[in-house]
Amino acid sequence: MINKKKYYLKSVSKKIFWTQFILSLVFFGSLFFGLYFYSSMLFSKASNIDVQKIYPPDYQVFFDLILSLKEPINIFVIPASGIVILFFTFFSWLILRGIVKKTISQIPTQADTAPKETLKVDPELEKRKFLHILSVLQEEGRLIDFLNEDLSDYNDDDIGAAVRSIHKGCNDALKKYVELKPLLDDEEDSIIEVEENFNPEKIRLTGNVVGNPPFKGIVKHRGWKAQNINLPDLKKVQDASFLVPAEIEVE
Amino acid sequence: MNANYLIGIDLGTSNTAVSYAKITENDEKPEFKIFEIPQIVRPGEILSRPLLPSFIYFPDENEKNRGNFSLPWKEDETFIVGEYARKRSSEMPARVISSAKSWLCNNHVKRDDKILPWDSDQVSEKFSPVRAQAEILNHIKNAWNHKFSDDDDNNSFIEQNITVTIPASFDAVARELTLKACNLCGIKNLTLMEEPQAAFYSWLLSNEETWRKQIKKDESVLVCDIGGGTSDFTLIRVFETDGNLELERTAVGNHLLVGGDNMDLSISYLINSKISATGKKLDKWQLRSLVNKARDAKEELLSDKTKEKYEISVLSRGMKLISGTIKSEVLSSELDQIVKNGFFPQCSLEEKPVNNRKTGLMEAGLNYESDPAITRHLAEFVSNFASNFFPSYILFNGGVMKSKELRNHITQTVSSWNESNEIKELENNNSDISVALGACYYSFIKLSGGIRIKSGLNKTYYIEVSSSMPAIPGIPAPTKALCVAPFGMEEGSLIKIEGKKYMLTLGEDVSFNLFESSMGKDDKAGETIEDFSNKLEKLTEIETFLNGNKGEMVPVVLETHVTEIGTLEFYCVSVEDSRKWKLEFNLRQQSN
Repeated sequence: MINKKKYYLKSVSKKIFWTQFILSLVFFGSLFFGLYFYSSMLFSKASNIDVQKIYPPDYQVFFDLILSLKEPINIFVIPASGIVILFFTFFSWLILRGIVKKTISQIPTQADTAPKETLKVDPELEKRKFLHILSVLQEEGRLIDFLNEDLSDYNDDDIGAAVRSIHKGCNDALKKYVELKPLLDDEEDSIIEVEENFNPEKIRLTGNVVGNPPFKGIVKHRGWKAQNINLPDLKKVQDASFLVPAEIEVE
Repeated sequence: MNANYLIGIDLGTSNTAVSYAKITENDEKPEFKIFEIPQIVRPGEILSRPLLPSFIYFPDENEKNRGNFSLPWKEDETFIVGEYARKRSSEMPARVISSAKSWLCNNHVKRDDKILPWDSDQVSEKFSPVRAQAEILNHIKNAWNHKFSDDDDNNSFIEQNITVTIPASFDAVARELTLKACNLCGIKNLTLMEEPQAAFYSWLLSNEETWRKQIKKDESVLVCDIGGGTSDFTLIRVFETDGNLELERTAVGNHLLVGGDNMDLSISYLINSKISATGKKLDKWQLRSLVNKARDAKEELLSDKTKEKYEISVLSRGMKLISGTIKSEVLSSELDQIVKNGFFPQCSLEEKPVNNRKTGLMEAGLNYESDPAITRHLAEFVSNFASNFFPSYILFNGGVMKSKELRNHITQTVSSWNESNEIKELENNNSDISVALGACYYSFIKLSGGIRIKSGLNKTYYIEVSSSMPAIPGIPAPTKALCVAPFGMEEGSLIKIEGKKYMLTLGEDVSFNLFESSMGKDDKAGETIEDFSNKLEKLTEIETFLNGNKGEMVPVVLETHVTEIGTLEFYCVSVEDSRKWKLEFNLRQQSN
């Protein structure tokens, strides 16, 4: 965000500079040109003998004074006008830039407004993300069909036959999304030491826990860890509660 | 523009895999990675997978334009490529293009016509096999650009250094069509490479330090690539020049349309017949799911010799899962009967493939092999090319070859053909992706130096010329075959057939019959063969319209180019001046 403001200020100050430059070029340019034009008219009149004759001889000093200015004006008018233009451009740019800078810093950054946007989540999409793995396990492994069966209606052989297919389907489906690994490398039933600053999210203690770690204990379950998670990109749907569509075969 | 990446694409009949590596500044060896390709796996769900199934699905009107089939780079939902397309191929076969690659070398159809999905009237616009291949490449291109090329045009897919693999047995026309598909996709720096060679390069990559100790000079490696739909054999010879080991691909087998899918289909027929015998009946949907179960049974029983049987359960289609489940089993002995005896029978080196067309194996317009016994085809290949130079090593590739049991079975069969020579297997650890990896590694070697397999043209090509015998009325003039492009002709080289001059009339079409042979290895350019009808296979015609002053006669000779990309081109070149006319392959349907 800060960078964006800097970039904005930079581009605005550039614009200000050029606008001011062109404005002062037009303004001072025409001013100096007018002055120069008027003075050269004055000089040509002052040096004209017919004109001088009209005035009394006392005025001759005045004419000389005017004519003595002719040379310096001819030499300096261009550099002087240039300096004035640059000077004015620079100062007006400095002032305007200062105003813009102050104004920009008062604009709230997007980072300040961002939290409001993240609150805008689509509830259907959230629901779909939550239910997604269920629909995958049903589609590829028929898990929901299986969980909804009343197992007391069947003998173990029939259940076993169905499970073979369900197990493979669900397992293959899961592997596409996540790699499951035991959380602990230690074998089950081995004795390990739980260190002082252990992470209770990684290790759950059971049994006689008295005092502070380190503890010695037997690994009863190694835990599971999900790694290499392959997150799907899910589209918004009309109704996320439709887990798996009904199938109609058109004859 | 300079390429930033090397990309290797295994554009397979059933799956496509992509490998890539960053081009390093000082030719240091980069890391070769697999590009995980985002694809639609279910309506409204995009997931990245290491393989892109080579299937194209055209959703029907009711299903599409709800955003469920749009991709981050493509709003249009006319068709989709990948996993969901494959799933739909069993549910709505008339809306799915599969095995487009196999159609590239089928000269019984007009190959640049919109013919796919084959035999279907359900889709509004059909694709030609070339377009289908191009759309698979387009999916990869867009996925690549989506990931790598947001702000940097130098990372754009078509600017990269791309190697696309093809079967070694692909003829000149199929190569040309693959090039066309790549051009449609816009690829600029392209090389075509043979799949068995790519598999071998992948082996070199994973044995970089030790390969010189593993294979010895004056020995040869048989590469046996058995994919889902095709089988491909290649022989690579190792020899020594100035103390350095060199590799040369010395032979390539015929294009065989038989592979793992045929085995799965045969096993599923067996299971279905067992189920029918018990009085139960599978519906169409269950029958199709049976093919997947057959594959599982094959893999399981072949990988574990202690198992006597593989139990199969076909779930009922509705909610009553357990009561409707149909049970069956495949015995290990039955599987051996089908796979080992049917597809890989023990045979002698002298045996030839049996040529009786079984109608059962003919399907959907593709001409599948009449003899599915891969070992007999292999015996024919070895006896033709390697009888003096019997292979000492065998490298397997392809999905079927994941089974160690099957690899050992083939190794034993090949070993039995030569008592004095024990054949050793070279280990291939990742057969799904090794071709893509090998292609990427090859383009690295091409750029930075390293061991290269000397190869060149994969077949010998001939045109039909008339004999100088006087014509007898009522009998067609006898013809000979003139060799115009010999086996092993190098990439980037050209040959002028000076010996045979033609007087051609401008303003007219000219056409030559083109023949090919995998066996005519020793024929040189300009040599003729009499009585060739049994030895050579008609490929197609090469033809052009000779533009110029109508009626003018010009003496020309034929010129053959093998391009740097790896395709074959023919020209008529005027003897008198610098005019030349390029001959194009005729893609129209060929009579049998």
